[in-house]
Amino acid sequence: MTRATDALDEHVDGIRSRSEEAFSAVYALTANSLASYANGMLRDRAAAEDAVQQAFLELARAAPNLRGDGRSLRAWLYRSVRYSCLDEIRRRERRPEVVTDQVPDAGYRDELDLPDAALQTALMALSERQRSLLVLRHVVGLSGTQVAKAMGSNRTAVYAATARAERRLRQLLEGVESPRVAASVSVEHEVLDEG
Amino acid sequence: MRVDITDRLADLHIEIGQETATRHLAAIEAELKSPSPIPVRRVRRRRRPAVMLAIIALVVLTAAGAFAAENAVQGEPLYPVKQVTEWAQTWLDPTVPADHRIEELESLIERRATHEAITDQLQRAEDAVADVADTDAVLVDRLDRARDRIVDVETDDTPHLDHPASDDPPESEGTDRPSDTTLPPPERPGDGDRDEEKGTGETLEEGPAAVPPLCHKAAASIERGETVPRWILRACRAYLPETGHGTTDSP
Repeated sequence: MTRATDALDEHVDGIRSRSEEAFSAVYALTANSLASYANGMLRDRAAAEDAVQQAFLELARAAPNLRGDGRSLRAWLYRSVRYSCLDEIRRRERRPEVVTDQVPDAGYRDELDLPDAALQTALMALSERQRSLLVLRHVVGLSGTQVAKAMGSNRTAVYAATARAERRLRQLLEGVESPRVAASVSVEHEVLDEG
Repeated sequence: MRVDITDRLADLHIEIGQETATRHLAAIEAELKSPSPIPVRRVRRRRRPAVMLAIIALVVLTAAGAFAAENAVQGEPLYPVKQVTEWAQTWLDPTVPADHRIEELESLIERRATHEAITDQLQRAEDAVADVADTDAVLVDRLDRARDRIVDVETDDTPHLDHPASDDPPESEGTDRPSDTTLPPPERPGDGDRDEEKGTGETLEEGPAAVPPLCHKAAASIERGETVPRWILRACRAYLPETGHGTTDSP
């Protein structure tokens, strides 16, 4: 992770001057991680790829104002992807899915494509912030400091929140896979929702 | 059984295909070739000096206005500014209004303002001094001296055709009670300042017209049985008839 950050440092000046080479290099270094993060948030590969493209287009517009080093650039990209994902989630909430006979095109991947159905269900039960923390930490592999920077929070709060999210995901996974635990988890979920 | 989150979440990891990456990079390239938008921060930076200049100008103008209004007296355009700054200063020092009123009175005296203007200002100064809860001895002393100076000025001004005002200040300055030395009472030659009277006797012999209007008014008030302030009695004792007022109030 440190090596990748160093690599981004080399391209920050190029990004500020809107150099195509710098953008290509940064894209090559970060696109897959950003896409994985967005995929964890949206559970939709096509939407995740769109979020990555959107983040880079916004970076192209905001490049002259970019400040800081490679780590700041990385955090900026993750934040941008996160906002795109949140927009997408809100859009989906406003526009519920409709049953249709139309066959999706080849590039479209439904969220049920995720091989681990239990994980899919458990992730759905988490809050957006918890999902975001878990994906950044365990899928993308960012350090606590990097996650904090990407989430616009402090490291201590991120560690605590990540631990809570992990505990909850474990409970949910155990509940999904074991009906006996499922009942207790669902009760806890209701209590948490009310709280 | 403990669930290994990291292993299971690893399924979420995806890689962008070559075709998608090419499409993305083409879109980014098109965006980069479009005209660069005006950076928001640059606009802010352009505005910042203007805002800073406006703030500095406001502070400087306020300070200059307050400074210019410091010596304003009632009726002048800057006097309201002085009142505002005075209101603020009063929070720190409650004697400021009294101090300012006396300063204004002294200023009017020096400018040889009209009798009415000086009398009005004297009233304001007395009120302001009276408003100070812990009456300051320095303020009272300054007010007393200003009163003496009023009599002195009015006495000087009355025969101004014979005595140009420019001749008087050097003689009167430097003494606490100039009226006692420059205008000795001709009716009371037995008073204590006889030696000094000799020095100025020649000018004073020019006639009884030297009675100041303030003392005329005081005499008229006494005749009508009205109360006359002590400082006027003290200052005009040479011109007033030998009554209880004059003798009891003289120091």
